Amino acid sequence: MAIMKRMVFLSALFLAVTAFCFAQAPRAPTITYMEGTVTVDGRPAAIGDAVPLGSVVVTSAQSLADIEFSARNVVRLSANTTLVFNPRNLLTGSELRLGALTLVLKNLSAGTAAENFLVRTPTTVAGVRGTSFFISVESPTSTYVCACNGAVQVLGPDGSVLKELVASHHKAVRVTGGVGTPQVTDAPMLYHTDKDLEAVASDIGYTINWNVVDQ
Amino acid sequence: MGAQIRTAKSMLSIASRITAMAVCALIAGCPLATNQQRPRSGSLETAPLVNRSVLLKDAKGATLGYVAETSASAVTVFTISGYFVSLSWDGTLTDGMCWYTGAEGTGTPFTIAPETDRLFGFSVSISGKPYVAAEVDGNGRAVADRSITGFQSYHPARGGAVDLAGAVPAGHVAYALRAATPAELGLPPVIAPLRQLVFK
Repeated sequence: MAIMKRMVFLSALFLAVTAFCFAQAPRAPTITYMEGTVTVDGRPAAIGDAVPLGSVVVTSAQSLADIEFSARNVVRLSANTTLVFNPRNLLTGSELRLGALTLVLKNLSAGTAAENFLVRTPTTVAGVRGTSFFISVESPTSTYVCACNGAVQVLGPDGSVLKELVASHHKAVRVTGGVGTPQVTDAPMLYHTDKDLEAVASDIGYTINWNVVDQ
Repeated sequence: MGAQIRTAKSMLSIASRITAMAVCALIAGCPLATNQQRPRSGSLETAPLVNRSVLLKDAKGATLGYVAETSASAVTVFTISGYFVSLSWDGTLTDGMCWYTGAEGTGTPFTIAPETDRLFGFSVSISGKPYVAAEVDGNGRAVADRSITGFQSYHPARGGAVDLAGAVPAGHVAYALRAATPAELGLPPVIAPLRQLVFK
């Protein structure tokens, strides 16, 4: 009987340790939600698929995809978006070639090489530290960036700071002019709504407080 | 199947159940609206845009509509009149945003959506007052107003109108809005806090 009890105890201990280890293991970037047609490196994707770092994620018309990474970070690709997903590469960042992204980042330091997250577009680089923001490539010479709730550094292609956006409720700029001569102008709210942000935030169980700047 | 009733205290805990039902509906090929801004095509009579198995009632027992989407702060229902309406759990309309052809929130209010979207049963609340598409076709879809190409101000979901002009972005179109009444949306004049989800 004593041996039986010991075996049960050891089994329970083993299960507990295993569960703890799995709970602590960093989760690979994963598609947690999608609509329509989405590909990862040219292959059709499905909910639950891993998104390897450096892979090219493409959404078609009337499609979208949510990628969760490092537990409490999520990026939503709008329709007609092409993203080179590279959150760990702080030299080049992730590259938004076409379309738009909505990001809610609540746990950068745990999953990235540093605390910043960079999104590079044809005209600018947006650097953020734990915030909710939206970025859209309007054309090869125009990028729209909105600090929806938090702080976003808008950088030129050479890494110089063009503008620091800090807002509790949407502050947007448009970066135009292409490489070498970027111009930054204030922009109205376009392309996204509070509801869109809240929906993405709810993916990671986060509720945006629109009265406080998230930094 | 017998109906089950839950109180407001357990609403959030059953949100996951709704999500699971939505997934089941999708697997079964049943069209399901997942985003107020991205409704699917169809007609009121034949196309269940939402999973018609979860009905939302307020604290006074008034039926508000079928649940299309839930979050911690709001629920979107598909009303008996065929509109998607976003409500806070306290029963108030959840404010959205719109743009204006004039400065300081004057002129024609309108919404902007990608050209490829089909706005079905669209409604939005601005400062607590409901608005719907000014022109709708025979299938209940909003008709774009292509004469609107830019705006002088806009109204974000919070705060007052912002005077910052801009153009309707490429690949997007404007839909003029008009004020509507709760009755037109299929809602009671006053909505009590939300209390009941009825699983059919």
